[in-house]
Amino acid sequence: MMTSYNKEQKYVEQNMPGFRNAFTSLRENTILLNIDETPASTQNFKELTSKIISADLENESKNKLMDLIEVWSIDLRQISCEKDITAYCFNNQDIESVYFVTIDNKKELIIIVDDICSEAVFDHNTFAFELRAINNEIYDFMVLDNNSLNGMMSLISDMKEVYKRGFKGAEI
Amino acid sequence: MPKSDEHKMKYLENKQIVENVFDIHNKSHYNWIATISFYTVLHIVEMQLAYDNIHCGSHITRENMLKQSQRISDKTLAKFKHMYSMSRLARYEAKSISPTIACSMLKCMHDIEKEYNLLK
Repeated sequence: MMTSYNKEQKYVEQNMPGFRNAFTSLRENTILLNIDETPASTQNFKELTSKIISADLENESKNKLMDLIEVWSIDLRQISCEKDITAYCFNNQDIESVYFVTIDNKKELIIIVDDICSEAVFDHNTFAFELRAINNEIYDFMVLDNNSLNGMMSLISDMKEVYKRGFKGAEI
Repeated sequence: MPKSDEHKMKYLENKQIVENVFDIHNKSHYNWIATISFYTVLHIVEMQLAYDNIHCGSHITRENMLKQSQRISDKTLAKFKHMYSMSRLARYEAKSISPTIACSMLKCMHDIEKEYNLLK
């Protein structure tokens, strides 16, 4: 048992530097060059990981690394998603702020606009539909104004600001 | 599963309640107007899905089906979603929604009725 563990540890140690370098490079290139057009899927990265580490690793260690990559690729999609939101908001100045919130343990996107009854609200809903289609983590979304948001606060257990009009980072 | 004509009956029942029971000038009716006008429209879009023998059990599934349906335009889907959000607000917010939102719900409802030639 101990021999097997040491053997796995040895293989992990042997593979980790190359693995880390490959993915750091891939991550940087993806973010810098074409993340907006082609955010890689979890499956893409799992397959890539599998190829990198397939030489020696035993199953248990492989699964641990796969889990790491899954978390990492979700983070990457989150970065991509936040970039999409910022770019969209920059071109739609009636959007005051955007939040990721948790309601009933599910992640939701909330877009806050100046006028909840304006025609632009429908465009923002269409944008959010597109965003959700490529981000499985977004369970639902709402376009609200600040008054409406205040009315929903009792349902919200966690809140992360993604965009705020006029603040640093709100420009591309 | 309800057929399209059964959804149409439900649509007409809800529409009658929105238009004849509630008063847009009565503050205590705003939340009801928002909620029932949403359910009025829900039966219009479910009617469209039922023509293709599609039936949905949850809001998220329904939205996904509507997005894929050739019978539902992006604009109608966006209006439907807006109405869903506002009805959610009307059901969960402690205070009453604003008269402006209640009016916008009626306008969206009429827009969608018009799109499917349901207005007399």
